[in-house]
Amino acid sequence: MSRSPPSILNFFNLRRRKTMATDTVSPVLQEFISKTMRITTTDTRVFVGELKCTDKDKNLILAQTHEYRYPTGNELRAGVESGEGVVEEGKVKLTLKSRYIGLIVVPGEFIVKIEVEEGEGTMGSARGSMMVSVDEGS
Amino acid sequence: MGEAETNGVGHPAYPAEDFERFTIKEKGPNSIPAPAANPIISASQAAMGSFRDVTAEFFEASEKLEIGQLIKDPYFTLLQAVGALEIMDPKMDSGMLQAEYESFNALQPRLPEEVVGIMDQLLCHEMAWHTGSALSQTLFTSLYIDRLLSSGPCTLAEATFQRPHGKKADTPEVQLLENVLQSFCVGLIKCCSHVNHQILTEQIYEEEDFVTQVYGVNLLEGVKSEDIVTLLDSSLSWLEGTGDLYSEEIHNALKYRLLLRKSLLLVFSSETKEWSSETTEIWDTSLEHVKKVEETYKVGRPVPAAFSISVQRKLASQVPPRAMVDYPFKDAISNLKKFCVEGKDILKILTFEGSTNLVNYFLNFMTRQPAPSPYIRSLLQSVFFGQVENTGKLSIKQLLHDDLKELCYPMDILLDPQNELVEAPQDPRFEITKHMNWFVERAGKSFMELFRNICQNRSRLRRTLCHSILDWDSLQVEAEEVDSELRQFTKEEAEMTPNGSSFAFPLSSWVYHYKLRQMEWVMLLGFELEVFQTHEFPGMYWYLQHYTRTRIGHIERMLQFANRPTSGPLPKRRKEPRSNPEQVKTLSLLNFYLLEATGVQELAGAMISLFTVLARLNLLKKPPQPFSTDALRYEVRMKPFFTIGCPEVVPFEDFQSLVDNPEIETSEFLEMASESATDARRNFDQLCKLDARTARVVLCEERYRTSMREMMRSCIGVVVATAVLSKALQEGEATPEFLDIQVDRERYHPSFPSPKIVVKKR
Repeated sequence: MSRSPPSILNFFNLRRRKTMATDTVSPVLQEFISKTMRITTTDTRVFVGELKCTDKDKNLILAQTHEYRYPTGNELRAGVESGEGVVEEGKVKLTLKSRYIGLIVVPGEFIVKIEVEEGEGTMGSARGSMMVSVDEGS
Repeated sequence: MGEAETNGVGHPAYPAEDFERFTIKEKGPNSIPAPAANPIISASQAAMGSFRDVTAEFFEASEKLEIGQLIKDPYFTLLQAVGALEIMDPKMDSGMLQAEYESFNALQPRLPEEVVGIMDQLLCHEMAWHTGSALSQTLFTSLYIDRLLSSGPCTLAEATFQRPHGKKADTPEVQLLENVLQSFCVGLIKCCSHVNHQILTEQIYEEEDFVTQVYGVNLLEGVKSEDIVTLLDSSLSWLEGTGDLYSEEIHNALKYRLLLRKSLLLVFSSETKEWSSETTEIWDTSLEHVKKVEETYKVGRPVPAAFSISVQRKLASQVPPRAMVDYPFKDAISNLKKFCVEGKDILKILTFEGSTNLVNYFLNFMTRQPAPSPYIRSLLQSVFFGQVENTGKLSIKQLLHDDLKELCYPMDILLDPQNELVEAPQDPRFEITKHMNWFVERAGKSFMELFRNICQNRSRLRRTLCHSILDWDSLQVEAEEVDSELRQFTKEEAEMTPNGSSFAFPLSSWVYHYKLRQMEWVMLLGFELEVFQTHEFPGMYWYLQHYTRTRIGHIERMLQFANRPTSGPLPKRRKEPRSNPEQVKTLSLLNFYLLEATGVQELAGAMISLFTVLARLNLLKKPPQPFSTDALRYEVRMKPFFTIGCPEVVPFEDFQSLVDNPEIETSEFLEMASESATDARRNFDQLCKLDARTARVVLCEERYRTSMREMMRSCIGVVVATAVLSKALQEGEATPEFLDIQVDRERYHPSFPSPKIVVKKR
């Protein structure tokens, strides 16, 4: 009888079993996997993407991510001047600039805030643009 | 603090801007603010209606995990994670960069010297792009260009530095920027657009030679070049109108930069199909302006602040930022000069001097050092194929017939244009036309491909040759069949050769000759591109010699058939049996090939002997090959040739003894090397002295002579090396302790780097 050499498949099975084990570890976190998350980082940028992976240090891997950043003072002014932003009760409503950055890792140490999309939340519903209101006077 | 509210996509008042395409609208007129620390913005921007804050919950749950434990999507592999961009890592996260482009004011007054400086920096970036860098690392880092293009202009009127509405360009500084720099940039962008189109038309390998990626930016595609030329003209007249506002030096510097841009735009936008060998003027004008720009370089003052890699954030969002290319002005200018000279040079092929001259032009053109730029190589293809594919100019058939006639001097009836007129199917001429048309179709394709291949970069050429020899090998077999079929119609009679009676096989002879040449090129390029290591030199030169020798045999055979007494009304005067001019032409070509091939064969022989001696004396440093053997390496080297029917690859065991020749004494080897090199030198000397017409280098005489001189230098190098070695051998000092070997590629022919033997000082 010849014994078949250890197959590469075994390796994957082992890995899968290990993953399965973790499934039961944190149902709270497991809940967020594959959900659309909104992460605010220390430099005030906002990332919206689908959570793929996390660990003890809150390092997050997000897929199909968009990055949003706040307008600078100048852009705010320009937004008002050009009529792009709508002034309402002393506040300016302006579309946030975004760009698609795809698959990213956000190290836990830079995370300020984590939000999850509720409801149906089909991917991309909140993509492409995001609005903010800021004080006009400032 | 404002409360934030958001609205997702589709708010009626603000259609979601497609920011992915980076048509960012910014109109901020002023400078500075640091966005990160700006308190005017509410950090508590609200959820988009449907987002719930889970920060505390999430943090708490994470705490409970063990180190190394992962919570992940079962379909997500860690291998995928490798490709993720790490946020807040300056090397990966282009979002972290200071966004200079946001606060950049293109209309901020600049000194005229600075405007000149910026124009020169732009020129450097342009040439860096021409030599293979990406636009995102070169021209697109210019904040002026970014300002021009970021609004996605479709018309000339929209392509501006975006002066705010209502403000007049009243100061001379703003006028200078708008009238000179802005027009210059518009012209530059249009040039890039034309260059990109040209490169994409012909075969040039993306990423290998040139990056055509424009990151979705519209390079003024909708604007006509004539309008931009008019714009540049009006800029020039504005400059004239300034009188003595600027010093003469600056005035001229600005003028010549605009003039150069205009002439380059004219070059790039002109139709290659309309070119003739006389339309050299546009290249000459450009060259003159380049020289003027070079002279006025000192006037300029560079403005580093006008360039920033932060623009990449908009261009390629899913890759880490890449460094800006620093291309020196000196190199840019010398490159541009060479560019104009070569651009003009390729017009020579529009005068047809016969097929062999044409092939030689392509071959010699590509041996120029440094290699012609991708744009020029693409242009060469366009000019050539424009000729071939345009009916009425130079057809593939004409080219192929010419080549065949000159090399093989086949029987007149094969290439007689009258054949086409015969319509009776029983007439042999009808059949001949049919067969010959098949050959033009089949071989024509391979022949055209050969021209295209030669235009690629050298490494790519070698690689494609390795494949194309297989095609030529099967073509040879097919052509042989057609040759035999043709014999029943031509009634060719067998001729006595040293190997018994035989027929001419004109078509397959032609194919075989080209196949052998390509096999030789594969070997020659192996040396030129430093594919072979020095310890492999004896064996690889052996193969070069093997192929050349085979070709010599073939040339001799073709000579015999070409030398046949010609039929027809000719032999009136008996004393001149070969007064047929076409036959004379063939004989002269074959004799030329014979001389050349013998030279290469002798030199290769000299190299074999010399390097075998060096190997014997342990003077070649052979690197350790823990996972390889000589046999394995041999297999890799000969892989392209294994399936070639003729000549065959020699089995490794035979190869070793053929190359090493253990029975020959070392000193004897040295004598052989010296003798062969001297013989080879005599051949190359003779070749060098041939007139251009005999050597078929009417279009590229200079380059040919240079190359022959390099060959002679290689021969001399070998003779010198053998002399030093013989002396050391006699004194018993031919060991690694006393001698050192340097392979010098600079001074010799790139395929025959002669070793320099240095006696170590004690």
